[in-house]
Formats: sequence, C-alpha cells, structure tokens
Amino acid sequence: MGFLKLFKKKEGGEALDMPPPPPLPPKSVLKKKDKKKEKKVREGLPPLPPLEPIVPKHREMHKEPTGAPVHPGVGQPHVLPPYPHGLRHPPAPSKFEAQQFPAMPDTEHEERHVPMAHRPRPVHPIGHRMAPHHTVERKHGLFTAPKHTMPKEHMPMPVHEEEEHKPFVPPLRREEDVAERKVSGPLFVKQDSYRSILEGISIIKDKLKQSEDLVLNLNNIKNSKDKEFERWRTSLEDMQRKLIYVDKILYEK
Amino acid sequence: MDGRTPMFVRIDEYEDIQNLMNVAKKKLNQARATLSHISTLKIEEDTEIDKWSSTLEEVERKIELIDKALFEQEG
Repeated sequence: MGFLKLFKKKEGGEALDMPPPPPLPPKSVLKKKDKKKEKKVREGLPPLPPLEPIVPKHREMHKEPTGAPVHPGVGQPHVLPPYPHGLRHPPAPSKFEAQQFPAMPDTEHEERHVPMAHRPRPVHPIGHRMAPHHTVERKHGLFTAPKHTMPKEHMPMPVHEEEEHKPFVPPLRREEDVAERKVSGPLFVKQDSYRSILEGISIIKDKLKQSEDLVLNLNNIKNSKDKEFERWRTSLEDMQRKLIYVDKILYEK
Repeated sequence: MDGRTPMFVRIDEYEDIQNLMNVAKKKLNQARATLSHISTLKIEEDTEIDKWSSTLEEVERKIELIDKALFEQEG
C-alpha cells in the first residue's frame, strides 16, 4: 500500500503554500470591548426566562386501532390563537370618505342568489392551500382581492377578443330574487348595464313613436273604411227604394 | 380610467323605476291583448266582406237574369 503515502502530510515547511494568519489583537483590548457591549445589552433588556425542556420536533402521531395515523386537527374543535396585543384594528373611515365613497351593496348577501350553475369555479392548484393572509380582506366596505400567484398551467383560459366586444346583456332575474332584495340604502348599477338600459330606453322610445304612427295610419284607414261603408249603405237604401218601385209597377197590374 | 375596474352609477329612485317598469309591462300586456282582439275583429271583418262580395255577385246575376227576361227580344 505504498500509494497511500502520497496522501500523508509532508512534515516540515513543505506542507502548503498558505499565507500566515493575521496577528490576533491583545487579550486586554478584547476583554474590555466585550465587557462594554455586554453591559449595554443587559441594561436595555429584561432578564431571560428560564430554559424550557427541549421538545422533539416531530411529534408522534396517534394511531387508530386499524393502524392508520390520525391527523391532530381532525375530530377536535378548531381553536383560534389569541389576538396579539401589539396589533391595532384599522381606523374607521372619516366623514369625507364616507360621503365620497358610500358603502357598496352587500355582495356577500347577493352571492346567495346566484345559481350554482352560473358561479365560476375557483381554480386551486393541486396541493395549494390558502394561507390566512390570502383570504379576502374587507376594509371600509371595499374588497381587496387576495394576492397570490397562480402557476401558468392553472390559469383560466384567456377571453377571446370577439367575446369582449359583445354588447352587455344583463342576466335575467327571477321574480323571487327581486322580491327578496329590499335594500334601504342607495343603489348602484354597473356602468355597462346602465348604458344598455339607456340604449334600451331610447329603442323603446323609437318603437313607441313607430307604433304611434302605425296607430294613426290604422285610424286613417278605419275612417276611410267608415266613409265607404256609409256610401254603400246609402246606395243600398237607394237600391231598395228603386226595387220597391219596380215591384210596385210589376205586381200592381 | 382603467377599463377593467367596474364603475357604478347611483340610482336614487329605484323603487319608482321598478314600479314604472311594472306599469309599462302591464300596458304592454294590454296592448298585446288589444292587438289580438283587433286581429280577431279583422278576421271577422274579412269573412263579412267575403260574404258581402258573394252576395253582390248573386245580386248581379239576378239583375242580369231580370234584365234578360225583361229586355230580351223574342224571336
């Protein structure tokens, strides 16, 4: 095994070409600096709590009689952690904000009336779980969309340009839904639907004008028809009188 | 303005508009009923006019017959 001798360190000054390490500061200087730092830190901090016993990182899971492991959260009431004292609630909206931006209609309530067939299905990637900060935040009646990145393969299909240019057609509402909705506050309509309403009203106005003209035309036709019937009636009376005269001439003899 | 953000238009008298829409719907139903009634009347009128036309034809034929009987020269 002579080749192993190659890996043995060569004794003497021929070991490595490393530069010599920098000289260490004197011990008296180091000790003074450390002591000063320690003093400053101890003055500003409370005393340390006693050390807790080390808990193993991976707790052993309970096992059912079948042998399958039981998740610790399953079958137990969900208890939320206490709210931290350091955090504060967001401030309430000022009077100006409340006037400028009145509260939006309760969309949570409206969502109940949307049939399941029309509801868009949420797209969740497999294995993706929503973190607590991903939930929809509600501040001053305004909704902020959750910020989370979605992988490209789970993104919904892009809308074609032809579909985007289609005129807005408001969805048909059932009478039950309309009857259930009774909101006392100010109501808002989407700008697109408002435009379609205005267009519809202008079309209805035009149609009403057209139907008014049609009614006038029909009335004129009816008047002329009445005149013709009157003429016919007079001519019929005249004929009757003449026939009676002929009848008299023929049968009086 | 970004085209994506939805804009809302405030409507103050929503209930009045709703009531007006209901009234307009009722009027439209009435107009539909009146039109169907007029349509049936027109059909009746057409049948009467047809009858009148056939009566007139019959009268014309009778008058021709009388005319022939009275003014036709024998011989």
